[in-house]
Amino acid sequence: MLDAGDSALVLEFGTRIDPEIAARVARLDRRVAALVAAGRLPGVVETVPTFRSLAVLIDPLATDPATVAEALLGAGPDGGAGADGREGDAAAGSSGEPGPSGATRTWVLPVRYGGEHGPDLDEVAERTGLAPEEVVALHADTEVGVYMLGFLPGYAFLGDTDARLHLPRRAEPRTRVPAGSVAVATTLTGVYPVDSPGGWHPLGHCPVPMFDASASPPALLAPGDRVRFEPVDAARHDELRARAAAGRLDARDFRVDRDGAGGNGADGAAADEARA
Amino acid sequence: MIRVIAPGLYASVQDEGRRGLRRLGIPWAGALVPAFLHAANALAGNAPDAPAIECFEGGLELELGAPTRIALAALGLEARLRAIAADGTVRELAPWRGHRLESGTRLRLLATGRGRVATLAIGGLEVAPVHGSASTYPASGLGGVDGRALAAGDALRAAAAAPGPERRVADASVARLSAALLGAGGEGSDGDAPDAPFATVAAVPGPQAGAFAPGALEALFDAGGWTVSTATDRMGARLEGAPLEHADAAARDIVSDAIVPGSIQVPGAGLPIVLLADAHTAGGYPKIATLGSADLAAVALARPGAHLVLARTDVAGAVARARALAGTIARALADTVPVAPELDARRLLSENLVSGVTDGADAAPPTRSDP
Repeated sequence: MLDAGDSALVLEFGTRIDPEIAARVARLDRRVAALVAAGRLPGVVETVPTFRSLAVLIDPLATDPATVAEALLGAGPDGGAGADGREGDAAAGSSGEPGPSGATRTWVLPVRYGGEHGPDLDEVAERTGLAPEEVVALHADTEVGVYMLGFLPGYAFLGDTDARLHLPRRAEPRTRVPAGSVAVATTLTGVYPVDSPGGWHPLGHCPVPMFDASASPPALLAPGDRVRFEPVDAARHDELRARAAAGRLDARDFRVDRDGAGGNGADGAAADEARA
Repeated sequence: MIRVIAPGLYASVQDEGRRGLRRLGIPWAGALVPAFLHAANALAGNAPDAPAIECFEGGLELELGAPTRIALAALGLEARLRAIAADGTVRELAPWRGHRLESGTRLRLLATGRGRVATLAIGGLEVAPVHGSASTYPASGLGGVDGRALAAGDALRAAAAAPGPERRVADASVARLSAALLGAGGEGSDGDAPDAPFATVAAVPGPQAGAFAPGALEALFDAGGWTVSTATDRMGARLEGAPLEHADAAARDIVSDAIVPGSIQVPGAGLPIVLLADAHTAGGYPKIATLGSADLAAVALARPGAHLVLARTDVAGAVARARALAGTIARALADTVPVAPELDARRLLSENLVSGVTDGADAAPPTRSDP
């Protein structure tokens, strides 16, 4: 446990980007959520899972970090399993962590790779010794998980990408990376929710908005979600982009797990077929 | 309807902020000085957590389209607010009390006084909550007016002012509250003693104090203090002074970790940044210490160039200070008194002579009841 003032405590599991560490963070996050739901952690406001740790934000007028730490780390009916709540969640595993709702959400997100939308595709291919089509295939065929969100509202850090794609960040960050850009750096990939400066390598563009202030929740992805990318051609990309611009793109249609909201299901089903 | 004639340096609608979305990268936003929000709202007849207008420095100008009750909370009693009635009559409105203003009045915030932030509450102000809060977070277009800070031409809705006597917070309580916001040892006035810091704020080492060279914590808490940079806003306050040394080059960047309001992150150049309400929810710079929640207001109130001293405390000390400040604020807000009837009678008389405009609500019989 690390000190973080009077209004938070940080429970740290490592200092690397590592699926095993992320799984432990996610288990503790679920455990805190369950205790809060049961009314057994008064004063806990919310939690923030990151690559390395879980931050628990509290109201210092209602509780204090030591009390919350004892409830989470100490012995007792709920504490015996230790910090990472190892008492078990059969669903947890390397194949995916359940989201806040308990079910793992899986998304298939369309991407138009290369060209104006992926200005770094050729450079990434050159530096990794792969053909551009191989870069696209490796990026799209590797299912990735949401480690955490941050940097920008709705920006999900997704990983791990295929080891053959691992590259450092750009030496010279771009001053403007357009919203929807799908980029890679180190072991990670992500989709820029808004126009932003950025140091990752854009490979393509995803027309599904990652952030919509009027949606609830406003961010499409949440910690623990699983994501695959689906290459689409220019016509399909243009069509989806036009629908998104007109506010007629239901992001839920790109969720493909069994518990998905489904909506009219057309795009989700199409994406599923495309994967099958 | 209330029309924004000019927003001043930066004015935005804020309430207590938006909870529960930090895991999606969305910070709380919300009032930088919650005590001002609660006090101004109470004096304007609102619930303490209702949305209000938070102003950086003076310059805000509003035109009231209906009778409206307003109240201004600021550090000390020096803030200057002016009302210009439709017939041109000018009144200076004291902070820390309710004022009932007639339709057509123009309201001008001339100066926020000893701190750079002041909160103007408007009775019955209606701003639709977005994800649970009306607080403006412009980076994501959430809350406020169209998701942004106030701009000239904006229109705000407010319910009609309820009748009733105006109340004010007693001057002694304003003084106690203002001193408490600036922490132990703060003078809050550059005039009192040239060397006195604007505020002394307490921070707890961690969560990444280990990423710094030996001596960095001592330097952070050096009695010489820090100077607030001009690059300071609702996201954070940059501090200028002798750079802090990281443990090694690798320690300058960390795998991203959560940020909380009060996190003191230190980028590679070694100058600390105290992160505030609009800061990102996670970041890759090590955080040498975390400011206590009770001391965030002092950092937000400090003008560029102001002198801040950081004092070392521990978690228990920061919790105790948070609770002590909450008690001081609660006592100050309970210490409201009806606006003195004899003062009002004098003012009414003079205003009658000058303009024929009366402020009926102020003349109502005083009653003693807490807001």
